[in-house]
Amino acid sequence: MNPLPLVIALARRHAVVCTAFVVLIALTIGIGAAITAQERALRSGSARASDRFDLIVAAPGSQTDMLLRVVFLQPGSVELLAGEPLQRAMAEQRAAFVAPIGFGDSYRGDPVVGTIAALVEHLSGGALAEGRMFSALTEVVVGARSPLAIGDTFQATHGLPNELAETEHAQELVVVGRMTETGTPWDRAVLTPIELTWEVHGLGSGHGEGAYAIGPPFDLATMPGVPALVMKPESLAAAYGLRSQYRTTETMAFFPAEVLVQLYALLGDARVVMSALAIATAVLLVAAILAGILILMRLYRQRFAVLRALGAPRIYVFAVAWTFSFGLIGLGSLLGLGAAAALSGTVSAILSNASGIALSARLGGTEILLALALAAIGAVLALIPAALLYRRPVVEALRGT
Amino acid sequence: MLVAEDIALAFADAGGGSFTALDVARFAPEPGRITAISGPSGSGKSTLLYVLAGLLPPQRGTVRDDAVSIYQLREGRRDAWRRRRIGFIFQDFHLVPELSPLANASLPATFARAGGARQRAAALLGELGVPTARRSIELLSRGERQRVAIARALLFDPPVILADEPSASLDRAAATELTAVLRRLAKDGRTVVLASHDDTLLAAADRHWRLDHGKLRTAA
Repeated sequence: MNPLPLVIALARRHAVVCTAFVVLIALTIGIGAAITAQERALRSGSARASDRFDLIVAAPGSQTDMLLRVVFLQPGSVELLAGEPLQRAMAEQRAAFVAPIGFGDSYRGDPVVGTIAALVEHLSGGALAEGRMFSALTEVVVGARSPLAIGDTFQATHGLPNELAETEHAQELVVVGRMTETGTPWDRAVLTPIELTWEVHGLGSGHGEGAYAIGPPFDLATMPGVPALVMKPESLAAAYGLRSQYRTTETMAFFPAEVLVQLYALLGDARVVMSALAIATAVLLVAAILAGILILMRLYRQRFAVLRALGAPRIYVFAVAWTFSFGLIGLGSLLGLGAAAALSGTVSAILSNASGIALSARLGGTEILLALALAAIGAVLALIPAALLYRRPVVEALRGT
Repeated sequence: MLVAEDIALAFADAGGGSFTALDVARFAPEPGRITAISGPSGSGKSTLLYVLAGLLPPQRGTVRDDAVSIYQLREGRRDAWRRRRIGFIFQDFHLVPELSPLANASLPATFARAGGARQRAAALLGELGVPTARRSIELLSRGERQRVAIARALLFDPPVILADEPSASLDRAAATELTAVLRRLAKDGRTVVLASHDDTLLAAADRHWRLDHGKLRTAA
């Protein structure tokens, strides 16, 4: 028994309608699968981005806000960590380095971040991709995707990206090095010595009245306040010890991963809802398409009755109707995976460009399962038109009643 | 030999009652002959053909094909019997427009195992004078389309041909050609039963019955 010649003939007869059905199913699957793949890519991308920020210490406030400022370089105002708590943290012996972070400036929309060489080297994987580390107040290192090249000179602008009333600082800065790619918004940042941030904002040098140097040790007594510190603990035990030690009424300390886990928990619920909605939408679409197929099959009931009059068994008619319906749904589901891959790639590229976070959305088991689930539901729903034709009395159909 | 005996079939009418569709004591079309059935619309001509083809079980009576009582067969076996023993020809041909003449003629081979079906279909089309080179049925004349339908009916070489108003959609010339084809089929030893209003076909019949309100009478 071979239902394909008739199935193909039916598809050819209604090529436009069949193509529309397949495209609709493919788009529904594609969008649903792309959303779940993108959500996963966002998780892994953000987790990767925060990987090298071991422990963040800041003034008490929202950990999520601080994570967005420090790791993802999102603009916004934060309380400064200053005074005795800052001095205590800067003198911490259980950390390989304690890096102050300073914001407040930008260059052509990209953030200018003040910090120390140790953090820059750490984020860059131990060594710069090209050039050298800054060693003077007006020298900077740029992120891997910064449009600035080594040797370029420029003036930073006061104010964070997208803020109004920007004014240029007087200092002319020169690019001396470029970091390796980190897959974070730091790839577009301009990294200056923290002392420059303090100087241009009239806060002193951090090394005492009239003293100038780059990097630690700082003069803790006169060191200005900073939005945050990034600590690199010496060991895992030290990491937990430091986190505990700096969780006080005057400071907060957190691992970026723990904040992300809380965010992921929220996203996790959203993902379940999104997946359920994607499946529900797809099932509703398949049901609507099957209603269309039912109407098509009604048009062909006389043709099927003729086949029965020629000796075709009922099961043959069933097989033609089922194969036709399932063929459309199965093909749509398969093409949907292709559409999902294309959509995911495009959306990832757009989001990566906008956020600076390296996103790579790949289709995984969830998306394949979504397509298979729809195909399986389609296979079951396709039984309906097949069963209706199967049960249709031949003589009634031959008479066209 | 196909024999229907003591057939009674009634259908419900719109008023909630019933009307007699068939009341036939005996109908035994002979092999090698054309048996025609005429009568007004609704007289039961098509119904009798459906009963003979094993598609519509009568409420009373039997249809036998030699020793086989066809309504005693389970549906699957009756389908197989019809495939082997009955060739059906319809007024509107009921071909698949998207398929070529050859694919249409060999269509029954898609639901039954048949070695060399394509070659046989090609040979039948050749005998019936249908141009197989044409890719679409829609490029054929109506007479040619009916001959494709005849080739399809003959694919499994059935001994009985049932034709329901086979010339109703044809012009005079095509109807004359069709008459010649049916005559040839009868000459080959097949039992040809046709339901028709067409005088050309009726004149070519060896035996002519008239159905009136489900009852068979010998036509004049």
